[in-house]
Amino acid sequence: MVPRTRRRIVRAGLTVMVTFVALCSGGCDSSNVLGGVWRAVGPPTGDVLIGRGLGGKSRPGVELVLGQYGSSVSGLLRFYRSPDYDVPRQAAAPSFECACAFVHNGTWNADSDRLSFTLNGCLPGAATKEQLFVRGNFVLDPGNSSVMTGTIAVEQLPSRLYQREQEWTFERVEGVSQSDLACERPVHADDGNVANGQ
Amino acid sequence: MAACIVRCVTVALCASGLLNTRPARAQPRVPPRAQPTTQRIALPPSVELLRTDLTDAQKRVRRVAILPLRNAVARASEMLAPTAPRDAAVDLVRLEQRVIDVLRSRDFVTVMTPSAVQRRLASDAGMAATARAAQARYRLGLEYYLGLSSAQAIRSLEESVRLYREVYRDVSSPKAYADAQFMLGVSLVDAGNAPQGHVALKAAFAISPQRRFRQGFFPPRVERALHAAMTDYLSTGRHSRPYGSAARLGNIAKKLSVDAVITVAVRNDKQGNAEVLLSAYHARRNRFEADVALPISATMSQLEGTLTRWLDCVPIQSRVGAKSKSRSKPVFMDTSAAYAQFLVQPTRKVFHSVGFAAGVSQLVRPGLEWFARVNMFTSLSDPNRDLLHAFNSVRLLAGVSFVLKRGAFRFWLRPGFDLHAFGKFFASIDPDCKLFGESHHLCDAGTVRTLQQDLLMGFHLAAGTHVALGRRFFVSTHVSGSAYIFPLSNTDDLNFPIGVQAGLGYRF
Repeated sequence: MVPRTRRRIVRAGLTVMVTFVALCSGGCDSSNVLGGVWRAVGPPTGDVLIGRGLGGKSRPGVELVLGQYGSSVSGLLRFYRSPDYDVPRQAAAPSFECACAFVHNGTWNADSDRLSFTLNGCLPGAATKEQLFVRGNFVLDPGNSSVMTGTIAVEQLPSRLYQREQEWTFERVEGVSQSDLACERPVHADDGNVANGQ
Repeated sequence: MAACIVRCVTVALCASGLLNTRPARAQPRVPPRAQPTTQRIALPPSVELLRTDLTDAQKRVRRVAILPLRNAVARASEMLAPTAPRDAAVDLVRLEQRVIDVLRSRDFVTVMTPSAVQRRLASDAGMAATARAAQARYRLGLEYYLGLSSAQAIRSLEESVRLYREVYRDVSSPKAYADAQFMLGVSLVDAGNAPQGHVALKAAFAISPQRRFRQGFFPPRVERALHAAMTDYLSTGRHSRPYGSAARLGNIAKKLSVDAVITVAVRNDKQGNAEVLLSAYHARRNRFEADVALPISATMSQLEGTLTRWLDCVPIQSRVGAKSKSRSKPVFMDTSAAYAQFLVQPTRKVFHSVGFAAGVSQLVRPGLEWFARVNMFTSLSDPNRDLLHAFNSVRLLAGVSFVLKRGAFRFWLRPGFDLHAFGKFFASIDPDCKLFGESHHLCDAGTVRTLQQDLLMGFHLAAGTHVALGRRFFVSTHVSGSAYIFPLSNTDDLNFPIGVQAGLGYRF
């Protein structure tokens, strides 16, 4: 084959590759930073909001199950009886056992690495039986993308907990499995027990 | 196996020239179908086996064209002496007739004589039109030359020469072609471009070595250039290739629809003795199979041996095989890596489909093929994962190809039909639907898009190329697009796929 023809073939091949890369570049970027199960590490600071654990434990285990889809975030907040994360609180138990609450309006700002969301549910301890509107704001640790720190703040009026704010640090422990997504309706939900917002 | 061994032995005999020890004989030419195989040729048994591989009825006649003899026996000193006597030692008419007779005496050979070759080329309507254009350019060039407009004369004559060469007028009408070539050389010399003038004049003498000029007709400077060009041609001209390279002879053979082309030229060797240069070009093999120089004194006796030696080694094709081969259309198969995306999609960002494709196409008639392809894709989630699950799909494509072949490249355009079968397809922009599933009470069912029909149909258009890698393999690339129109109400969510494919193919 003459060199000129070979050059043309190489040029055509490059053109195809460049086209392919250009087509791909519109959608090949990965933006799943938050997806996974996050668990609170260390005691919280700030106001008293999420309080004592059950069975004599100082505090409950707090777990965030998140799914990120571009800038949209969905998920739920689950509470365990202790920070050992061995026994989750049961929605099927009597109504005082606040088990979980769904995350609403979750957004991820990639520029500031900031997650914000709202909850419409209970918080074990201070508001176990109360449905609160709570806002969460967390920022990813710049040096460790498996750690995020932030606050949850009550914005429910006329709750006595209004404007209380508690700071938590979460660490990602694993990916999301189907069982992590269970958040059952609480017992007596039809009779007014709407603690987890369902 | 036996046939293979016999063929190998015969090839060896051909190479060693043993098949040409047979004395010349005057044998009446018998029609091939009626010719009894066993009595026809007295050859060694192994060779006879080869010859009887095919029955006479199956043997296809070999078509050989003899191009006009080129006489380069000339002296530069006689170039300006139009009345100088020709060299009596070279009887060209007899020589040419001898070549014709030898070839005609062979079995399964049809001969196209030099005059028939000239008639055939001259009568070609397309080439005749080009030749007329060349003639017009020549006349214009001549006018310019006489009007002392050398630059315009050169341009016009160059075009004339190019057109004449394009339509093989050096074979069919050498005088007209040589006139243009000479005038081009003269114009170049006249314009002060002596080097290019020399090249042009030398090329003119290669077409018409016997050309003589009236002394004093041209200025002395041009006469000197003519003399120099003639001398150069006689000493360094490529006399054994009077009509050019193998590629050009291949084109001539194609035009004449012959299997082989014989060229004969006569020239003076270094001692000044005339010799005959004979070449046999085989079009199918695209090579010169005989290339000999015979002293003119021994030409008549050695000519037959040379031609029969060559001809015995030219295989006789099967008529049946040739017929079936001409009927069989080449089939092209390829497998390719494939990529596609949809211009209309239910997701906010594009999702990509990757997979592979396999296809087949077959030539129906020159420039036209049918094709069928199957593509298998896996469509991957987009960055926002609006596409809830990756899904698989199968595409069937069929239609016709319009093909243009240029050297190692085959370019094609394929309009056709596209049938696309989809697997489970769910898309939503609601993150709750994505995380918890489309049946969860938080998922807004209004955001979920599914294909109610898992089969879409429409039109398809692709363009691509095959680049030959050797005789059989080729690299295939193509770009394509489709538009789905059926079912009429369910093509809004997913439509207009575009894609690229690249792969490797094989021609059967």
